[in-house]
Amino acid sequence: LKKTILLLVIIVNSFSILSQNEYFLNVVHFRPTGELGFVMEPTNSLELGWQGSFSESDMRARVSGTYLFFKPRMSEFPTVTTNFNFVMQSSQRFNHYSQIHLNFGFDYALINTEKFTCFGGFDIIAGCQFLDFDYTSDFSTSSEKSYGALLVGLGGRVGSEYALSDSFALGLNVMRRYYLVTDPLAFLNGNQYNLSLIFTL
Amino acid sequence: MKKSILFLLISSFSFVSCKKALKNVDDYFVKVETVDAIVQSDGSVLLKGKIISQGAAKLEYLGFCFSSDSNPKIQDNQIQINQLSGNTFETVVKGLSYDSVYYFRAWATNRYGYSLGKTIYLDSIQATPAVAPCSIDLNKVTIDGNQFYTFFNQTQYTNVDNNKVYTLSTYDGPTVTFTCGSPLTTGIFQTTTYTNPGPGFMKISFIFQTINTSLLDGSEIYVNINADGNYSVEVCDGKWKFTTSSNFTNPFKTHVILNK
Repeated sequence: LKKTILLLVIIVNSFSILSQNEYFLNVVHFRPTGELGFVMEPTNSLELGWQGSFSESDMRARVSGTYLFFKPRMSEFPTVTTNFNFVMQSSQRFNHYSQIHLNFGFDYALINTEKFTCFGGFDIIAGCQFLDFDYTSDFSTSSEKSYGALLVGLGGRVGSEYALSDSFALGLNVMRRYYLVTDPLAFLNGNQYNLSLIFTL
Repeated sequence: MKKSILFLLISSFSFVSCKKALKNVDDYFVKVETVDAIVQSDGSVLLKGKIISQGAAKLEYLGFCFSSDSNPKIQDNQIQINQLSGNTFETVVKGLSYDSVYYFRAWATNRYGYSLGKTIYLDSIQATPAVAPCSIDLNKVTIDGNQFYTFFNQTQYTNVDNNKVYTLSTYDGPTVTFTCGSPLTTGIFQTTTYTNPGPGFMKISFIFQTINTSLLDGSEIYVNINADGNYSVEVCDGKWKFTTSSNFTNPFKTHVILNK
């Protein structure tokens, strides 16, 4: 985790040399969809990041990072194992499930006035997943732990921002995320709703 | 302008095929109901189940399970059903003991997991007794309705057709052979002249002096399973012919216990 934060700081700083600095704090509401939506509850978090300013160009770079901690939707999931068509009931219990997402992307301003911008953009997502669950059947109880599984994917975003002053703006954006997790191999997705507090330095 | 269209396309594409999570997590699973468990006249149990909803994925397996434990699992005496009739399914379970309590449940699975219907329990499962319309002393046989003989010996074996064959001897009367077309259960069987009788039928033949014959087709045989697992077999009006051209003689009657 320390290494990830350090990497994020380095990347943010290296980008910030290039352009006018805008730092943002997003209040995140992440709603898992698809398979992840079956297993995990929606979660809230914070996202920290840096982005360029639309004051100089209609395009800006953007870097951010967030930690998502998920609560399972059931204390114990009723699972099934089959052996030559003989069906056996079993169960799966999640002890811990969380992800770190680092986002690197660009936004393009579709409407760009002095006070108001409306934009679309995309991110390349990298990160890792932390998983700990127990699997119980009639014959055994096994525990699986997977810390730091790689996570890669893409995200698309639309949003808008309104400048309250020269140094402070509020924004709203919605992001759709698709990403692949390596261990156990899974293709996951979710919707992220962000309320942005943007500071210009 | 080109750039803005490109960005709009990329960002909007990512919102396509978003499968929202279902509000209630239970809606992912199949909803199944154990409708009924009905004891049949032969002591078997008819189980009925119903699929209320298939959940968020295709139905994969379904069936019933039962055990003497009050919380049967899918793997306990698992019965899989391959075909639904509308949204209902059923099966018949045989060979249950009178002196046990059985708990039955319907179950079904889809790729999200399994679900179980409510548990129905049955106690003291037994067949409706087959009541013979006559009263004959135990271990007796008559071939003419008048002279009764007493059985003193019983042997049994399984023949090449996999039929259980019982032979019972009397001291000075007939030797009677029962060839069972299927395992004996409580109920009414019928006589047949076939050497391989088939389910629900029994061939009863006897040898007495110069007579060597078997009962004709269609006489009723009353079979009951006793508490010790042996079979009480009664014939009140067994029809037979002395020769192929003769008329019916007096009826064959017997009441015997065949060992399990």
